[in-house]
Amino acid sequence: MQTNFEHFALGSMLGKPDMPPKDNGSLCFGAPWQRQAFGIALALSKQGVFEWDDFRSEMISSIAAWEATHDKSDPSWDYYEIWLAVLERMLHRSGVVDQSTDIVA
Amino acid sequence: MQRFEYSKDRETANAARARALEALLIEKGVITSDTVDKIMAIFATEMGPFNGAKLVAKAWVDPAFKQLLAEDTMAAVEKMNFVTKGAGAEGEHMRAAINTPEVHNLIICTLCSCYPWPVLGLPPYWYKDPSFRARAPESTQRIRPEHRPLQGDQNLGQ
Repeated sequence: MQTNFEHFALGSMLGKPDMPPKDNGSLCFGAPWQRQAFGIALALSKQGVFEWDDFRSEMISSIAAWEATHDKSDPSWDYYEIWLAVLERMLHRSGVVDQSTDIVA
Repeated sequence: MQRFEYSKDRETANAARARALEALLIEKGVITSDTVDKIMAIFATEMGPFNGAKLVAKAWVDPAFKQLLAEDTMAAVEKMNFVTKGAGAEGEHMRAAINTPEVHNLIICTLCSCYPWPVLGLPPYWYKDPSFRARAPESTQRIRPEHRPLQGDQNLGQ
């Protein structure tokens, strides 16, 4: 089967707790920064900066950690905020972003 | 009001973090300014339910195309101007199931979660749910209403 990385990446999330929000079969973003964070993560994994599986594992454990400390109906839930934090962690871990010298927000 | 202010600050902070991250990665030469757009274009324009909608709309107004869609779905998909041509990403062996007033189709993947991404995009969460996959073939009447493709006299096949 011919599988583009983008298709594979999202396919591996189907039906799992880390699946991004969707609207009628399409990805849906509540703000431009969410789209930005999503696109950067896919691009970097495609380039081999980090493994997609590692990114996903980090997503799953971060979501589990949030759920362990919040009520599931807590309106402060923000899927892409978790995504962004995971992306930052993956970049620090891979050494692409150096926490001591690079100032990120 | 308090909460609203809080969310707004949080939203602004998240936007700033994402923007800073992208700028830093561009500066380091890891990505370019159009990397995100390129990735997103694949999801926005190449595969999704908008392709399936075009197929159905064409079948509504073109009886010959409807027949082709039913008999040789891939040949019908080839006639459309889809970037993905239906190939790759679970779209190689699609077969259209056309609803009639008498027959309503229910599509289930009993193996895993195969889904025609090129024409329908990402499946709803319950499509991969083990209980849906196990119970749907047993009784299409007993499964939850939101899992049923059509209810009552609705007929979307025409």
